[in-house]
Amino acid sequence: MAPLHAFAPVRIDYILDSVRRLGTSAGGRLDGVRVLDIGCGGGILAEPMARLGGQVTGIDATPEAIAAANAHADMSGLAIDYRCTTAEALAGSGVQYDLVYASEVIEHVTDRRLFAASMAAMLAPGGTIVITTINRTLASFALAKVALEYVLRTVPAGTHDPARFVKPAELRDEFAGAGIMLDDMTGFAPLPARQIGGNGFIRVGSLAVNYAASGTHA
Amino acid sequence: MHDVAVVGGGLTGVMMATALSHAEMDVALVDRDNDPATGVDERTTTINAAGARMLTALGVWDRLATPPAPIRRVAIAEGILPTGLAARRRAQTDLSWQTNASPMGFVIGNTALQAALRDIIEERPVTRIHGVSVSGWQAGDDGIELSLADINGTGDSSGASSLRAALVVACDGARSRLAEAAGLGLREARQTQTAIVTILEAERHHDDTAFQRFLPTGPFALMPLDGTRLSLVWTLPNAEADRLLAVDDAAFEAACLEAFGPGLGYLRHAGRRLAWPLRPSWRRRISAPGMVLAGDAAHAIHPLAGQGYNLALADAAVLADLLVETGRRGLPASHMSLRRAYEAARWRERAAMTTATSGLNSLFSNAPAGIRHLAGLGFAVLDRLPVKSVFSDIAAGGQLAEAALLEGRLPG
Ligand SMILES: Cc1cc2nc3c(=O)[nH]c(=O)nc-3n(C[C@H](O)[C@H](O)[C@H](O)COP(=O)(O)OP(=O)(O)OC[C@H]3O[C@@H](n4cnc5c(N)ncnc54)[C@H](O)[C@@H]3O)c2cc1C
Repeated sequence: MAPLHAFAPVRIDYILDSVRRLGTSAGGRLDGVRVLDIGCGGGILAEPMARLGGQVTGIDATPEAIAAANAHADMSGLAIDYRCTTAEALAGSGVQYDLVYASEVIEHVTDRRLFAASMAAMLAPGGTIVITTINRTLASFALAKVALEYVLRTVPAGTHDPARFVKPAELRDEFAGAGIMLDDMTGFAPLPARQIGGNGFIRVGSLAVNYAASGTHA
Repeated sequence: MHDVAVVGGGLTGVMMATALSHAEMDVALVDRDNDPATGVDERTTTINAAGARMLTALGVWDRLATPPAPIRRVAIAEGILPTGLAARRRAQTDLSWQTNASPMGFVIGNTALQAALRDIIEERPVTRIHGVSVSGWQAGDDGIELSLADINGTGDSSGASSLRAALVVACDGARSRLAEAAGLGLREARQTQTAIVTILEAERHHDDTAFQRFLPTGPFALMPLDGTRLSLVWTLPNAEADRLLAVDDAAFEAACLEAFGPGLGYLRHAGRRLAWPLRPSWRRRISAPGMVLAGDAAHAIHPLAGQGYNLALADAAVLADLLVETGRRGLPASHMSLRRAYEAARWRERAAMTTATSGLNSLFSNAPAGIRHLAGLGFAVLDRLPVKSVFSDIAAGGQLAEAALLEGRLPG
C-alpha cells in the first residue's frame, strides 16, 4: 500500500487546486461541499476530503473495499457515506455533488462514454470534475507493471489491461461529448524511490504516463 | 489521541512543542524532569539571525531575562597569536567577517533560554505531562502508543500509563532511546575528545567578536557575552581535558592565555568547568513510521561552529510548516508523506553541518602532519575548506533550511 499513500498528496493538491480554480469552493477547505469519490477503495482520498469538511460519499464496486473503508473511517472517527455501487447505477438515482472525482478508475471502465455521462449527470452546477489516470503510450506500457501497484486497490486481479489506458485527447473528447470541458491537465511523476526522503510524486508537464484532468460543465 | 507528542523537555523539546502548537495541531509534551529550573546551567547557546527571528516570532525573545549578546564579528585564526600588534591584526583579519548592520548571531545563557521557553509554553495550548519517562513504544496503523513510567511518583500523567499520538517527535537527546527503539541506528566514532565548557572574563572587551582559534590539539572557541565575559568551548584530547578540568583556577587561566594568546589581555576563570564528551556521530535516517527525530536526537554535531541549537530550531520550523501542509491536505500527522518530506528537507543541512564541523575539527586536530602543515601555509588554503562556508553562513545569518518561522513568520 505504500506507493498508493505516497501518491496521495499530489492528487489531493490537484483536486483542491481544481476546486479553487473552478470556483466550487474558496479558501482551500471543503466545508459544505458535497463530494463523490468514485472508486474510493479503502478511502485514501475520501478521508482527507472528509477531514477538510466535505460531505463525502464514497462508492466502489468491490464489497471488500467498502468494508475496509468503513472500518478505517470508524478508526479515524470520520463520517463518510460508503456504498457498494457503480457510478452508472448511482447516476440513475438523480443525486448531485459539487465535487466528483474518479482517481485511477477510468482506465478499467468498459464504456467510457457512459461513464462520462454518469459523472456529468451527477455534477451540480458550478461543480468540479477531476480525473486521474494513465496514458496509453510506450512509456506507460513499459511502466504498466509499476502502475499496477498503484491501482491494486480498485481492480479485481486480472482486469487491468494496458490496452484500456486512456490518451488525454480521447478523455477530453469523451467528456466534451457529455457536456464537460476538461480545460486543465497535468502530468504526475514519481521521485526516484532510492533518493533519501524522496517524497512520492510531483507535478510535471509531460502527460506521458500518469496524468490528471479537471473541468466543469461546458 | 493527540496529533503530536513531543518527547523530551530539553531546549529542543520545549521549543518544538511551542512551535508546533502554532501549526493547528493538538500537541502534548512529555517531560521527564519535574523541576528543571533548579540547577544552574552555565552553558550558552549560539543563535544565528534566522534562529533569532524564529524565537522572536514565538515570543521567546522578549521573555529572556538577560539580553542576548550580539555577535558582530567572527575572527578565525590558526595557531597561537603572534605577539606583535601588527602581526596580530594580520593574523586576526585574514579570515574574519564583520557586519555593521544587524548582528550575525547572538549568544544566550541556557538558563535564561530555558526559563523563557517554559514561560511561553505555559501560554500555549499544549498538554504538559511532567515527571514522566517514556518507557516503551508501539507503532500502530495510524499512530504510536507510548508507555509512560512515573519516575518518582510525583509525575502528573494523571494516572495514565500510556499516550497515543499520530506522530511522535523524539527530542530526547543525543542518546535517544526512542530512536534506538525505532531502529534508527547511530554510527558513533570513539570518543577521543572532550570539550571544556565554562565562562571567562577578559581584561579587554571582546568587541562583540566570536573567536575560533584552531590549535593542533583542537579548536579554542570564545563567544561574546555581556560585559567582558566570554563563553569558552575548548576541544581537547581526553587526557588533556581531564588534566585541565582538575587543575586550579590559576593554572587553568594560564593554559587559556597560552592557547588564545594575549589578544584580550588576561583571561580570568569566572565559572564552573563542565566536561562535554564529544562523540562524532551520524544517523542515516531521522524518521520511522509515526516518528521523527529532532535536536540532539537527530544530530549531535561538533560544537565547533556553535550550530547545534540552530539545527534544532530549523528542525522545528520545517516540521511546523510540514504539519500545516499535511493538515491542509486533510491528511493525518502520521501520514508517510510528512516524515519523508521532513527527511528530505533536513538531509542537506544535516549532512553539510556534520561533514563541515567534524571535517574541520579533524583537519586541524587529528589530521596527518602533512595536512596540518598545509593549513599552516596560510589562510588562503582555508578558502577551499568547509570552514569558510560554515562561518560565512553564520555571518550571513543564513541557513540551509527554508521555513516560515526562520523568516520570522508563524507557520500557516
Ligand atoms: C556537558 C554538555 C555541554 C554542552 N555545552 C554546550 C554549549 O556550550 N553550547 C551548545 O550550543 N551546546 C552545548 N551542548 C549541547 C546542548 O546542550 C544541546 O545541543 C541542546 O541543549 C539541545 O539538546 P536537546 O534538547 O536536543 O537534548 P537534551 O538537552 O539532551 O534534552 C533531552 C531531554 O529529553 C528528556 N528525556 C530523555 N529520555 C526521555 C524519556 N525516555 N522520556 C521522557 N523524557 C526523556 C531528558 O530528560 C531531557 O530533558 C552541551 C551538551 C552537554 C551534555
